Amino acid sequence: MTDQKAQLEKRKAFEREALPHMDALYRTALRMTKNQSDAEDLVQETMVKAYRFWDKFEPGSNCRAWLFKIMTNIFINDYRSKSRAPQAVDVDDIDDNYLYRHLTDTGHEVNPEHHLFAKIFDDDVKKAIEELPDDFRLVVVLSFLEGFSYQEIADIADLQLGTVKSRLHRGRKLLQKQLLDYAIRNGFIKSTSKDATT
Amino acid sequence: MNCQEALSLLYDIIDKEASEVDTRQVKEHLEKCGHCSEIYRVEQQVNAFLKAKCTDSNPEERLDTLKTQVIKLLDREDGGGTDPLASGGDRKYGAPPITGLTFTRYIAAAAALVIVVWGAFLAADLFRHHDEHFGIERIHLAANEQPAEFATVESTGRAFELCARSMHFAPTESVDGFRLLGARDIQIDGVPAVHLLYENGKSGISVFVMRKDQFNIPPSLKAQPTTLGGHTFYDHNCRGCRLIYREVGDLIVITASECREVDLPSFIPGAAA
Repeated sequence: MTDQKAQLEKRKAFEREALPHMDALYRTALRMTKNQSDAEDLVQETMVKAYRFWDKFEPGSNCRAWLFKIMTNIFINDYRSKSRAPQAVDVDDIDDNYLYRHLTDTGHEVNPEHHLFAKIFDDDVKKAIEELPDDFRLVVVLSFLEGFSYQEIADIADLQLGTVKSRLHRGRKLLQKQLLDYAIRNGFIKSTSKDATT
Repeated sequence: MNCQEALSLLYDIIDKEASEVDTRQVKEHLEKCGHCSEIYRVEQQVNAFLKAKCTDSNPEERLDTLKTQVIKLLDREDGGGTDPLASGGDRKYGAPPITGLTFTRYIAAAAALVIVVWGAFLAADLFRHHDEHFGIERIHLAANEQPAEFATVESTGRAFELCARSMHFAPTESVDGFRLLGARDIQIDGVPAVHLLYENGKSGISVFVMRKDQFNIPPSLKAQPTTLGGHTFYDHNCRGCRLIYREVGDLIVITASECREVDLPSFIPGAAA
């Protein structure tokens, strides 16, 4: 009876504190695993693990960050290794403020980005994010999609603050390049000779 | 602050991570420098655009399925708390006892495997069994936790009214020393029901009244009726909460209590009106 009561208390607390974050976990899991069935497995594993270790969660602390840490951990250990393709990206060849440079170089009118944004669909952005290497994608998604601070991301992904910042920066550069390449490929904006698109 | 310094803080500013001093200095620089302020403007736009584009598009219907799935997994975990076999068995039974003899170790390993496989079958069975009743058990246990809260939501008068109106059921105000506290309109797996709570100062009994044409007694239970004193009922008496299902006229009446001292089969909370 008392065991059962304690069990029920635990269950109630978990459902109150942790379950509401499942939406967020799922949307991040979708971006991270890039497929629905893996994303669902990842979230399920995360929730079960969180429930098993619920007594380790400090009441009043940040439950969302705690759940994301568990999920990130599982992702890095079990999911990323599945498709460990070499992630050769020469980010450093990409200029800073890539979009800005291009848009001003080609002499677009004022607010050229409006013109570009109007033509890019959600799916194109999603695809660009999914094409980022795992390490960059993780910090980009945690920051852009979930709004975690640099420090929270460092805690969640077990990284140095400086690493978070540099990955986020490089992730942004890659995203800008991919979106611009996409826009040029589809003829939304003009190409300049220095844009090497494939 | 020069251009290079201002631009090195670009993303810290955009992400609202820069210090107050830096933020102020960058702002001062941007007021003087058209070049930097244009870069900032475009980068802010790009950032807002990307964030907006990746926030929406959440597949709602998949999420509902996923939530149901997770609840089931938690139920299984809960089951595992009282019965180690129900958690899948592998962690507790996976390691054979250590002996000096290799042969014995093989036997032990084989035995462990048998236990694991058997445990998995048993767990699957318990899980299925559990699943059908868990919703009702939980509603009862939750209400029983806070009987006072339950009583304040709806008075006894309202309980009679609810039962009469939606279910044509007349509850008895006092049964075997249990007093009717109140009633709520609820849904059990989408089926409308009236939930009555009785209490005798020590323990509580929930009564759920539903329409027979809207709710089915689980077939496994229906196959095993109990008859006592001329009344037939269906008894779900396993771990945790005991549930008794009865057919009363056009209604299904379920009584629930986790208290072992309560004589649930002889607790008759009312009759069809």
